[in-house]
Amino acid sequence: MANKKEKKNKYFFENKREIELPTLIDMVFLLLIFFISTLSLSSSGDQDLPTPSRKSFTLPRARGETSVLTDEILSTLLIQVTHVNDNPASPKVVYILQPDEQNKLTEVQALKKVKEEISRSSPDSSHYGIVPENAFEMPGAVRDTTHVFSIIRQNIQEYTEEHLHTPSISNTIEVRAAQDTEFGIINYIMEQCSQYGNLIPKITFRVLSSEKESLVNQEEEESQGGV
Amino acid sequence: MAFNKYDMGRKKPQMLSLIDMAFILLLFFLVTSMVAQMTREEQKLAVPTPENKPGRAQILVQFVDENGFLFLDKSATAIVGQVQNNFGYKSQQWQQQRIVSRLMDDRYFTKTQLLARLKELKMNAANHPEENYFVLIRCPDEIAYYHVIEIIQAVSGLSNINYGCVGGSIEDIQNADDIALVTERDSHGNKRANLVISF
Repeated sequence: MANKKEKKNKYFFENKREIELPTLIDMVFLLLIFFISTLSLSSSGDQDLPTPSRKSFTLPRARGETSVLTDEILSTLLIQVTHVNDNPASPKVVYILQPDEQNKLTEVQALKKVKEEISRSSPDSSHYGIVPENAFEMPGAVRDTTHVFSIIRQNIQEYTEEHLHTPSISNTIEVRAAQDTEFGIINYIMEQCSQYGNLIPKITFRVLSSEKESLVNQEEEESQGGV
Repeated sequence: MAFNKYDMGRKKPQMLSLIDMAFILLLFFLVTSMVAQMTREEQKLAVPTPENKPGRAQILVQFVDENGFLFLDKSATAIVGQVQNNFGYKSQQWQQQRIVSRLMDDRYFTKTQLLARLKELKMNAANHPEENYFVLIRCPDEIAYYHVIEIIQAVSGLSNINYGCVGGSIEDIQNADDIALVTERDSHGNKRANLVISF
């Protein structure tokens, strides 16, 4: 009896165990999920985004009001401040994008139009200007006469005279500026807008949603879409 | 009763389960790191156009640097009054420097503290809709504008809070022509001491 038990135990503990098939299948599925997720996440960066791409444009993080579509129609004057060639060490450049009369021009198309204008005409375009590196060391009166600040002033004035005839809560001018844009440039834009009083009651800044905001939105979407 | 005693022996760790766990952990950290780096949605943030007309500000927010602020409200008048009373025999320039030094000691806030104070201000403004508030934000031109956006966002949203933005540094206040208390009557006819800084 004891010998039988010993043999049984010996068999139980010393016999070689074979590889279990369900575990192998688990591993195959895990590898499959791994490669699918890495493939899908790496390909999401290849979407056709406006230049500079929304991914690389370092906008401030704040809680915004409305989302911006990838290929949004330009509905108002947009002042875009970015680095030359998206290089953070390079000087800043200002693009001033105006909507067309039919309101069918997208941001990408408007930016392309300005760049074509630059390549055709001299760098003294009325919709493009490079911020001088010593702009904030100059006296304010001298700085206001530089090309870039002059075109900001002129374009805001022209746009207001042509399109903003009556005070309305929807009248606005948009600013899309890299996060490290100096306050002096933005303050100049705000000063110019404030001269028109109720004709430009608000200024719209492009921001990136903060982490908390994106998580809250995700939770809201899940709770609305969930069973 | 004689129970069978199994000699359980030492159980060897299940290697395949361990490999499963390793892959699950790898997948978990990979996905979370990818999600953390994903592009956030671009949004529009509308702020009221600042009022940059000359006038009086009830609250002054002066950027000392990117994360330090001088916050002057009506309670700052007490500090100015104290210096003027205690050191009235000293020269105007000495008193002015003393005032600025005391204000920097007492009214210097970090961003977190400032945002908390502005939140209190908004609550007061919401509870007293008949009162109008004006916040003047002074910021050096070189500072990145997104710092100012955070402050503007903190004060905007109520119709009885207006704000203004001007360029200027703390040195302008330190070298101001005059910092004085002026007693005036407010809209209700009550006397109040106002801090006037002349640049």
